Amino acid sequence: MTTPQSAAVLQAAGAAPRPLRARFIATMLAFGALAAVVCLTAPLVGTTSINLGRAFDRSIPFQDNVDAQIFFVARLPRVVAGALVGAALAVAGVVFQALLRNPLATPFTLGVSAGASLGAMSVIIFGGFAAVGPLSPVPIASLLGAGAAAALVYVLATSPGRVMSTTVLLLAGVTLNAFLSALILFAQYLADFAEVYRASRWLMGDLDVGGFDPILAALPLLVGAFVGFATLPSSLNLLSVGTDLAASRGVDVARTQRWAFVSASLATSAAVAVAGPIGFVGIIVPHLVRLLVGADHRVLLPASALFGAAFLVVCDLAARTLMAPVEIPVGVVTALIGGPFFLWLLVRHA
Amino acid sequence: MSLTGHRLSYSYHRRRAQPVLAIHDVSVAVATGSLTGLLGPNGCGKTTLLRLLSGVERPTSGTVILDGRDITGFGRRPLARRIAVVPQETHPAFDYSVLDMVLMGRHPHLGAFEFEGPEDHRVAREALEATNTWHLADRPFSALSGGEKQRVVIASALAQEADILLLDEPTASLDLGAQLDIAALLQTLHRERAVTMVMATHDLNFAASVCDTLVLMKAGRVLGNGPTGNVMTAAYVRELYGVDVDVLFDERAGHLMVVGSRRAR
Repeated sequence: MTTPQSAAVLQAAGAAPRPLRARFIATMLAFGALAAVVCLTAPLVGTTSINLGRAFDRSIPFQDNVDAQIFFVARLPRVVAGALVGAALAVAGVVFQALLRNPLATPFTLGVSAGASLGAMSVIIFGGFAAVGPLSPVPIASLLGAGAAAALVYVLATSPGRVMSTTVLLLAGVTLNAFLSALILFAQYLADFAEVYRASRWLMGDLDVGGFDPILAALPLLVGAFVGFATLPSSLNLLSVGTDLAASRGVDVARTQRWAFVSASLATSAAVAVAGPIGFVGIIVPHLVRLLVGADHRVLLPASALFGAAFLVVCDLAARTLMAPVEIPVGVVTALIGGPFFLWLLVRHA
Repeated sequence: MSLTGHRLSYSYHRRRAQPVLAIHDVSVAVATGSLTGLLGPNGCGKTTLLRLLSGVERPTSGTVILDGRDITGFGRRPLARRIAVVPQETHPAFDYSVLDMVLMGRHPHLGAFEFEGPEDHRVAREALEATNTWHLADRPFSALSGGEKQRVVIASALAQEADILLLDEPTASLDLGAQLDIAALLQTLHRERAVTMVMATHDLNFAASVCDTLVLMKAGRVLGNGPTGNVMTAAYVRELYGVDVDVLFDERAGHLMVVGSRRAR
C-alpha cells in the first residue's frame, strides 16, 4: 500500500533495509579501534616520560630498569584494570537498564556496590582475615558483601518459575542501598582517623592495582559474567519492550531475567572488588553508546563494553596526569563528568 | 477447531490463604479463521484468558490445546510462530525505530546469535505495508500517535507470521478515526489473510462490526457464546454490564448497533 508520496518520503529518509550485520561489523571495528588506540597509548603517557626502547630492553636487569618498572608495574596493569572494569561496569549498566526497563538504572542501583563497600570497609576498619593466596582481604570482603547484597535482592524479587517484579527489584535495591549506607556511616563512626581515611579513599575508586595479580584474580568472574552477557542481547531487546510481549515472541522471560541479574551482578561485584565503586561509568557509557549506535542490544552491548573500556582508561589517564604530581581519584573524575551528564539526561527524559 | 481452552482456571496470589480467582472453569473454542470478540466488564478475566491462550501464563488448572496438542509441549519459539499477541499498550523502555519494533517480531524465526536477513526484512516490509505504516519505518516508535503505535504493534505481530492473533483491547484509548482504521485492518486480515483472531474489547459496536463470534464473560466465567447475531442482545448486555440498551440492525453500516445505553434499574 505504498503510495508514491510515501515512497518519495522513504527515499528521502533513506529507509532502505539496513543490513544489521554490516552495521554490527562496522560498529565493532570502529569501537574496537578506539579501545585499542586508547589502551595502547595510555601506558605511554604519564608524569614521568619513559623510554619505550629501554622499557622493553631485556638486557637491562628489571630491578635496575626504571622505565620497565614504570611501564610494566605502574602503568600497564592500571590500564588493563581500567579497561576491564570500564567494560564490566558499562555492560552491567546496559543489562540492568534493560532488565529494570528503566534508562536511569545503574550497576549500583540494586545495592551491589553498597554491599561491596560495607564488606570492604568492615575489613579496613575492624580488620579481619589474612590474605588468601594472591587475594588480599579487602577485595574478598567486598566481593562477599556484593554477593550477599545481590543474593538478598534476588531472593526478595523472585518466586520460583515466575517473572521477576521489576518494581520489587527497584524498591528492594533502593531500600538496601539506604540501609547499607547507614551501616557504612556507623562503621565509619566507630573507626579512627586513619581507618576512615583509608575507607573513604577506597570508596572513591582507584585503579592503581599495583600489578597483575588482582586482575588475574577477578578475571574468572569477569569471564563468567561476559559468557552470561553473550546469551542475552536479542532477548533484552524484547524484554525492554515489555515482559508479556517478550514472552509471546518466544523469549524465556524468567530465564533471561535470571541470567541478566546474575551476570550483571557478577560483573559489577568483580569490577568493584578490583577498583572500588567507580560511579557513573555504568550510566554514561550505555547512554552515549545508545545515542551513537541505537538501542539494539546486539550492537549496543558489545559496543558499550569497548567504549566503557576506552572511557575509563581515559578518565584514569586524566586522573593521574591533570593535576600531577597530585592524583585525582578516578571516581571523582567520572563523577565530575557523569553528574552533569546524568542531570542532562534526566531533563532530556522529562 | 484450531485453538481451544479446556476448563481453564487461574488464580492470583496462590500462596496466600485466599487466592483471587481470576477465571473459573472457562472453556472456549476458537474456530480457524474466525474473528472472536471477548466481551465483559472490567475484571471479568478477559486479559487473563488471553494470557492463558497465548501461553504467556500457565493455567492453575485446565489445558490450552492448539491443533490437538497441549501448548505447554510446543516450546517457546515454535509456539510464538503460531500465536502472536498485541497488548493493550506498548511502552518500550528505549527508543526503537518502527522498523526495529517490527523486526523484533522475527525473534521466534531467528537463532540466538542471528541477525535479520533479507527475508526477514521482506516480511517486515510486507507487515508494515499491510498495516499502512511503511512510511513510518524510520521514525522512532515513541514519536508515533496512539493509533499509529497500535498499527505498528500489529505489524510486529504480523511479522511473527503466526496464524493466530490475540489482541487485548486494541482500540482502547484511540480516537474515533484510529479506531476505524484498526477495525478496517482487522477486517482485512480476517477476510484476505484468514488470520484467526481473538480480541478483548469494551466497545460493543466495534465488536458487532468486526467479530463473527462472541464470547461473553462475567466474574471469571463464560456467560454465553455464539455467532455475533445471536449473542449481541439487549438481555445479555444487561446481564453483563447492568445497562439497558437497544440493539438495532444498522442498514448502512451492515451490522448490529447498540444504542441508547442507560443504567438498568
